[in-house]
Amino acid sequence: MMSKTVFYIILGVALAWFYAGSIMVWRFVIPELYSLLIKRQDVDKKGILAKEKARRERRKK
Amino acid sequence: MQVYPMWLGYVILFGLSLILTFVASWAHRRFHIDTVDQLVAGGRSLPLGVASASICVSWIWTTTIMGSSEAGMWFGIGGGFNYGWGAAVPFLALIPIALIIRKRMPRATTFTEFIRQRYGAVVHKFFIIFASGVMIYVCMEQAVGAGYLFNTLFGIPFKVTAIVVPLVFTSYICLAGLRGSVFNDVFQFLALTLVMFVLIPLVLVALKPATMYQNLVDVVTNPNNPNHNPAALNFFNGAAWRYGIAAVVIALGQIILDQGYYQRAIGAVTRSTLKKAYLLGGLFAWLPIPFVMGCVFGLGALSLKLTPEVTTSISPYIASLAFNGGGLVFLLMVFMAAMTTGDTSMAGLQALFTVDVFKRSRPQATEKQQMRFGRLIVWPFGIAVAGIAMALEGVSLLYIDIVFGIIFAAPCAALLLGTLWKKPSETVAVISIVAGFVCGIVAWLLIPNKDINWFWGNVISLCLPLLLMVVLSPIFPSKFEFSQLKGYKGLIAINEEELVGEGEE
Repeated sequence: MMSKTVFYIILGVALAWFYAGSIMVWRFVIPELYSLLIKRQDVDKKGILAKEKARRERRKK
Repeated sequence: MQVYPMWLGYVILFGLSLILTFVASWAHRRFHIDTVDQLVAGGRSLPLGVASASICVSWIWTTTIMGSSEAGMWFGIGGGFNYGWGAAVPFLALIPIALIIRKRMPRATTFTEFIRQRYGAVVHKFFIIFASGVMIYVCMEQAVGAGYLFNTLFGIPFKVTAIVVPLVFTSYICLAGLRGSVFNDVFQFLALTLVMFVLIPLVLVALKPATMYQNLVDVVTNPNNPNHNPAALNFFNGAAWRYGIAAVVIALGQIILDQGYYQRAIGAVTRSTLKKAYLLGGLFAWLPIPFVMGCVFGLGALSLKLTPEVTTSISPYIASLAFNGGGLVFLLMVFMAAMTTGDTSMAGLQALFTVDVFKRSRPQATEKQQMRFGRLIVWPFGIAVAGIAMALEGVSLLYIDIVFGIIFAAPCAALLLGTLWKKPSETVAVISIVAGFVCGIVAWLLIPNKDINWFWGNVISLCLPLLLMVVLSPIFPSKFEFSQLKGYKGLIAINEEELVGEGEE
């Protein structure tokens, strides 16, 4: 049987993981929705690919 | 047990249905859905956040919320986590399959196109049947779950909800295809997480963690406690981990054979976005939801010494402790979970039949004819789902899950090994699927112990085909080479700009 401290730690980990995971998705969704809905800009695939390529090259160096 | 007035139930049912249809109608106007690729693959331009939110919420079934709370009550502190990892593992299996298909066949829209190129026409037909079965079953299970919930809380006849729910998501998939599904998912992700952000701390305040712990110690040590379970405070409880393994087997077929989940993978703007979206939406955002529901709602029910006839009903009760109307807020969460999961599979059916059945059988069909077919084909499925759901009134959701788990586990080995290994041939794939299916069903029917027959039925249906493929493939090897997939031209017309960067290392 686990102690009270371990019980609190497990409960805390579950809550922290849930909030962190959801907030991480919010952090990406909100700017994208703003761009798609308010600014009415379409997704720039070439721009995203260029950024990914630059990141890969930086990592290689 | 009617808890709220019936009129309120109808307001919620039809009000939310109207909102969801409005979101799809907005998506249709905003994105000019005038090609098949736009309809079934969202123009292959879903950004990271939108794809992650959609992936997360489409894997939140009604059972993710209510079943994980039940698991917490049955297995104690490890229940919710085991529910979570068991259902998350198949998601991790889907990522490499989707990445490989997208890298080797950038012009493919459905995973069954890959199966056709990889194995040939016979296995392809098997997969069309199994994939359609999985998606109809998923839609139907959501309609049944919503039917029970509205009937329990508002007294609305089961059949009314069982008809309305599938017809609503069918109508907005007909209108806006994958975009309608994805933007409704995003809207529902935001609403669902906001509700949970507020509800969970309020439930914890009402339950008081210190009191919870004291009451759980009583559950562990006091044999007279109605929920006495010596392992309730053991995170590594063996029964809970076995439950996790069973969840892997049951969920594997439900995920990797559901075209709806591949739609989001195909629709993601790049392959890197696909990978990140599945990790972010599946592992980081989805997995803690059953974990937290099991720990807060399941352990809350244990600590309050609740002894309900049906343990599924504990979650609305615990939610109602947070504040007046907490049960109602909980109902909204479950309704959204049902709609998002249902629309994912309906969008998958639309893609599968428009691309891999209609266009394959009529190669000369114009864009307009394909669009018309794509918009019409969802209706027979929607009506069939409503009809089957109505007929299942009174049947346990768990029973449905177990039976279909056995059926859908059989083709998983052919898909998994066929993606990673060039040796398995068409004959070996067919033998493995038929043998797994037949032996799984026979084991389930012949093992007399009802507590384990379902488990062994599922395990045999999944593991026997794996074993057969590993043993028989070197004996009857295929002449297939993965390089053959490179020249695949695809079935539908795709704008070249959408394929920039695809197929590259």
